Amino acid sequence: MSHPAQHRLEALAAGDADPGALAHLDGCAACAEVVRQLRDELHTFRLEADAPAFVEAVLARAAKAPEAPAQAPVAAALAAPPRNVTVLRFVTVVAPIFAIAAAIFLYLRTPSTITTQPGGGKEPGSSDVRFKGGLQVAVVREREGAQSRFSGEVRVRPGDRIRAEIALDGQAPLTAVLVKDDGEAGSSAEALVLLTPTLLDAGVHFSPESIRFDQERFDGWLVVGEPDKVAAARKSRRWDEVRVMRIRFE
Amino acid sequence: MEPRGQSRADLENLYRRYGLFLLRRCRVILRDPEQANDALQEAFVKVMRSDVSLDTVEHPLRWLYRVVDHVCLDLLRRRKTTPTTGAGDVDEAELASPTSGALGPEHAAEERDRVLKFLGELDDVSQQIALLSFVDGMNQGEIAEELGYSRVTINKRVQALRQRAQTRLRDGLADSSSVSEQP
Repeated sequence: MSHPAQHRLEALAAGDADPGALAHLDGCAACAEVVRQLRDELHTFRLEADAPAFVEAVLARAAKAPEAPAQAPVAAALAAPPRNVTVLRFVTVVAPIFAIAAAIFLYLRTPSTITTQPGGGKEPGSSDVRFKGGLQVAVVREREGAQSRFSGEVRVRPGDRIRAEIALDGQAPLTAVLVKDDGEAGSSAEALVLLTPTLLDAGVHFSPESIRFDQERFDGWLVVGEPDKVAAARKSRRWDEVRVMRIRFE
Repeated sequence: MEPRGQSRADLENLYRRYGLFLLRRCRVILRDPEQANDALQEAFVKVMRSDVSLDTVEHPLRWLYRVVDHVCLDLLRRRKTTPTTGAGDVDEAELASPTSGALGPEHAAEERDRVLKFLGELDDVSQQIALLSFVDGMNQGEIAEELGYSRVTINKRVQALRQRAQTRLRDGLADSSSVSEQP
């Protein structure tokens, strides 16, 4: 018998609604017993816990530590594997050289090589990935059981499934959607939402929803950003205030 | 200082409703009761500063666990060394669950204990998988769905974690044995 995960039993014991887990308890004495024990422990905790004192300590802690957009450990964790000295050396020594070389390359590159722009909103010469603040976006594509991660253009074909990977160095309300080049959000707007508006904490997150491509051709953009800015970007077809990744059909 | 997203009463209610489970999670991950209390306070600061209304979150406890996980894993990174003492401070029976797979709750708790001892040495994804598998008791399909990886990948990662835990156990037994042989 497959049992609900521990956190679902805990949520149930705490009083959250979970019809699936609740139905499971009817036929599983072991899980029912766990929930009963959890409820007992929770009852004791609620009697003994000094919630006002705890919240007072939380407020004092918050007052001592002003809100910061990013903390060093989080930013470092997002920027590079922190325990890898080789990578750090690369970042501090080699990366600047690459950056200069890349800048020269981009300068010399003719603008006509990157001309794709949905609705004219994308500036010639810009890359397929836009960066905004401490937000980084990648796509995990699953194809025939194998997974690949992309931080630039993603090519898809029927049967592929993609999910957004979002890394941010501070809390932010975000949403992630797929937008077609033709200006429509697709045949079903709901089906193309990878992440409904959610306040994400600092760290790396994967969109709870994934999109599977069928035979219908899809060329467009993954758009990630604050919900109002994503909504505005979808209307204006300008991506200045959001992060986008190019999705192309093979 | 007044909370932004939640009122003081909201935070108190949140603590009464979920505080037991959140504190347990902090203690299991950090294996240090004092740091666990600090981590929980820090997690509540993050919740307080968020603009999220938990009424609108589909799975509030799961969302809170994510906040707690971030705080605890950040603490582990800052600590850099994995704590090998203090395990006795955590009440292992607290997390015994029939949801831990084929192993009985007792064995599952032992395995979880071994994996969590080297949690701080793992990369971010392995840390997430370790927590979802060995603490939350999620199956590989659920973890694959949660993290966006295939079941095969999750299976390999979980097996690697188990093997690493077994190696640690053997090494630990060997060390104990060699110590006991000394005069």
